[in-house]
Amino acid sequence: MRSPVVFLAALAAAVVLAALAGCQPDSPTGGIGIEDPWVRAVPPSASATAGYFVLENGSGEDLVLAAVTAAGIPRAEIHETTMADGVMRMRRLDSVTIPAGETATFAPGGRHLMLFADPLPAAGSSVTVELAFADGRVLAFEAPVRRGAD
Amino acid sequence: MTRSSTRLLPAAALALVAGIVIGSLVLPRDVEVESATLLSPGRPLPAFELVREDASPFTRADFEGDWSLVFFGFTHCPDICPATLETLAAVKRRLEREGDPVPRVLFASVDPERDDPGTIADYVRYFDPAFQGATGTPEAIQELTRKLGIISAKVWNEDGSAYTVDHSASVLLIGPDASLRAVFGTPHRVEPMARDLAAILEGRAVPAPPGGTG
Repeated sequence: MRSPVVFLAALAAAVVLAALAGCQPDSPTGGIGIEDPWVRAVPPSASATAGYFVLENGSGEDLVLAAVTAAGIPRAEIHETTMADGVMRMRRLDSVTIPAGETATFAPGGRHLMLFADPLPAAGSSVTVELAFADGRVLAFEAPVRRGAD
Repeated sequence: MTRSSTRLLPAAALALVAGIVIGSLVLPRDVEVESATLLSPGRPLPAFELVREDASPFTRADFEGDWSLVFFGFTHCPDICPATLETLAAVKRRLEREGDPVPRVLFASVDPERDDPGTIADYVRYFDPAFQGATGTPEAIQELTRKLGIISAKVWNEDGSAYTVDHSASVLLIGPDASLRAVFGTPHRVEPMARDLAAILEGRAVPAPPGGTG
């Protein structure tokens, strides 16, 4: 009966260590920087809003952003607005590849996080966003909710 | 040419130069419009009937007497529509601060199935309490947008659970004669748009030369 207990204890210790390691800013998401994150404050009657940020990939390897989640937001997706001959189109992206050493900009009128919730977070609050990369890394950051003109 | 008139030439030239210099200092200057395409003469709007929040009709006659900016969009649009309305609200604040004439702003839905008149009015007032919203029957919206050169198309997502509406993101300027006077293409920026709007509404606007910086 002893060995399963030892095994479980070791497993628990491993999980705790892994969790602690995940909390450190330089590992395992070392070299990935998030600049100017924000979520657009929209009218109460809106059902969706957008989140923006600039991601700097200084990790030394290509990154594939594969999924996004946001605390308190039932559905979050990666979308892209494109403009062709003055016509705005918006489509969901399955993933975004950010080559090593490059910066990916998520900004109004381009790539953005699409957040669906009812109600949506109000101006002055903030949203915890988690970006999940294809290699298993997860990067979390706080995005303030605010209004913005360009 | 007589001798005396010949002698007067330098004086006349001097007066002309002085006049130009003084005039340019005193008179309002023409502004080369770079953020919009001017239509001169304006293109008269077709007859149409949209619906306001209180269910009263909004027709062509409602444009008469005032300058109006019109933007077509929908309230389920998370990126371009709120961004454009924030920009228009900032343009309006800037015009007010400068003491320039301020056009009315109308947000018209291209998604009448989901945007009832109350929803769209609540939505636009968030950006500025004076902004107005209008919607209409799908047929009325389609006919008006088509005649104004505004494209809109419903596009379903992969699993068919939701749709978005691709649409022209241009902002239209309607004159007090209910004709289309200018089209502001994307991207919409507060400073150039406010400057150009003030010039157009004050009659100081001239088209930017072709191949200009715009």
